[in-house]
Amino acid sequence: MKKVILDSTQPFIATGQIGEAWAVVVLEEIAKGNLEGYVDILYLQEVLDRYYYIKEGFEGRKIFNSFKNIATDVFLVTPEDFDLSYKLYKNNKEVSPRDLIHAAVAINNNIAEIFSTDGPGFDNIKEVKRVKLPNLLEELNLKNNYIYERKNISRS
Amino acid sequence: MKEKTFIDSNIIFYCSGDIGYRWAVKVTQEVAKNGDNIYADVFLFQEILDRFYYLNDPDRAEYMYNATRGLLTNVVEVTVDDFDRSFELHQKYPHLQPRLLLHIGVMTNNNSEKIISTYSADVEEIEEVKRINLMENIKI
Repeated sequence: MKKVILDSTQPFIATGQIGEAWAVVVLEEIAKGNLEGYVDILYLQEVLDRYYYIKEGFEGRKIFNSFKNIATDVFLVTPEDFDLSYKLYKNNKEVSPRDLIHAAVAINNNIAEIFSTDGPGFDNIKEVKRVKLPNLLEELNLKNNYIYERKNISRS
Repeated sequence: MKEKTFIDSNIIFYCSGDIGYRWAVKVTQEVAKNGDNIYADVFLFQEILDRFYYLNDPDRAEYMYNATRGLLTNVVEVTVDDFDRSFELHQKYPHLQPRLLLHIGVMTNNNSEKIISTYSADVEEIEEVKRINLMENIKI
């Protein structure tokens, strides 16, 4: 089965006022066991931070609990992950530290692919591969479904 | 400081770079001397890297990461249980930042009640921990 690590763009697009159907579909596939979708513990903090700063702290906690339960597993972030992210940083100084730590956790847990809609960051890290949304939907035989096909939405 | 004591990242920022307060440098020297009792959670590194990345200062990011990585010998991982504990605290203190509540969640799950922080007002509101008053506890 395909294994990916998710960054926090996924919950933000799947929930709240955005609520894009394609993002919900990806989560449903994880919940059904058709896709192994892992998160790291920093991802959970990013969810809480975001909802706190838009003054919806309790909503953030609900979403946090949903993601904690849907994810195949939650990886801890260790000092060794930071050491690896620091090594990655040496060759990727334009990439944000958060993208680098997600990548480091993926590598240290033998996950080769990251599913993210945040292209510019992960595409620069050659040690991991970003899975683009159209490719993921195609692999899951879902490409022709849902609102993703709307002509006015451009996603990479 | 003989009790298990946690430190947050604001001390690190006060002693570095353009701010460079002497008292904060003294605190970090004390941390270096009494390191066996000083703890931090792993997200402290993330905060350091984030800060200097957004200041567009990669050299300082490298310097501060290496300095704190060497300085702090007791770095604990953050667990889902820590988040669950922070959720309990969130219900009691819904206006406080998630990161601060996570700090406290990590501390209480690691049986520590003392924290070194300059983030005084919010930390002192949390009755589950006690903020160390630097002026009373460290000779500066």
